[in-house]
Amino acid sequence: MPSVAYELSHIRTLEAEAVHIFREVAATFERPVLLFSGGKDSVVMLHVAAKAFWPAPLPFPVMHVDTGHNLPEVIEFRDRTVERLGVRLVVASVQDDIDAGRVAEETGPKASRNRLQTVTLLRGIVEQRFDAVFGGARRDEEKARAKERVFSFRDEFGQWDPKNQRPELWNLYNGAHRKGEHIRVFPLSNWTELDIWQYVLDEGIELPSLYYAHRREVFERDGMLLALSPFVTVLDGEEVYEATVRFRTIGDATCTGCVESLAADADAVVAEVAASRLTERGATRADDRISEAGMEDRKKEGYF
Amino acid sequence: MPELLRLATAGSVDDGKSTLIGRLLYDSKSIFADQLEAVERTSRERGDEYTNLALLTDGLRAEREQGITIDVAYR
Repeated sequence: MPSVAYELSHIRTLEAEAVHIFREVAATFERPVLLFSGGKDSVVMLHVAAKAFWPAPLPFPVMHVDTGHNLPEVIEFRDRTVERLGVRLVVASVQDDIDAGRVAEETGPKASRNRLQTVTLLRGIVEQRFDAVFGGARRDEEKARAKERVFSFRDEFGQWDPKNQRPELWNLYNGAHRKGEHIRVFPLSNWTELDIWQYVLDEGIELPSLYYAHRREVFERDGMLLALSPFVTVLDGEEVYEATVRFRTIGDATCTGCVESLAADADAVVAEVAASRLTERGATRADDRISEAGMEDRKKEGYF
Repeated sequence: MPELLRLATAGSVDDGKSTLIGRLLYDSKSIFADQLEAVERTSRERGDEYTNLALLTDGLRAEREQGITIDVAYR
């Protein structure tokens, strides 16, 4: 009789953990929502969520916090994906908050709407009375994210208190909260960038074309390659040139850089990421460079 | 994948438990270039005479201010 291996590969173990988290939340919360930006982590998160409830449809909507500064490929991809899966999309727009005077837009050539997203995100959560909010953050991204729980409690102002986090033993998750408070849930906490790409490859998941090598007009700023787009102003002394690049992360076009790469498919990206000596956020995110604890400070305010 | 290694440290306050873990991460080449650079920069700014590898595990503000590890995780 052939022996059957019951041991899961580490990717399948991570997937099983995420599936468990999705089902746990669906069973114990009233109004969950999944944050979907069209970035690779949220695409993988949505894919695992769909698998967790298959063949039933997803039992919660997805929300996109739209800075209005997205590259067009991302929005097109978002709409197509949402339609394919038949899920409800809620868009919380930063522009609405700017128009209503709730936030003031940064000025100057390096202005970014990154930080403003927090207000829009929290407004979206309050307006729709969401009590559990899935995010695609991973521990390997950043040192503050490394220490956040899978079930992360947020008070009535949406704030995270790193000094007062709940114990989280094994796979026992504590979702207790009062009205007005909510829990951020991170099913992909334990994945790494390489795991994400390996999973994309194994499952044949479609990602926005930006993640693969393409020709694009770019310019260098603070050691990062920024894409030329209507949302950024090229300063004096910054030279625009065409290069073969891909994005390692996708966010607001004003603070997300790309890297020079020839990796045109998931196979090549897996090989590239495995050999990389730089973290994805270190290589391509200006929003983490505000200060030494840039992410921690934003997370305390209620950021993703 | 290399086999998973589980490691526990025990010791008194300021004995160097975090520094040991940081050094193991460093020696096993588990640290990315930009991470190490950030730790080197922070060490210099804090006035440490050496690269403080404990900063690899102590990433939160409260941890760095007090020189303690509150949660064990790194990046």
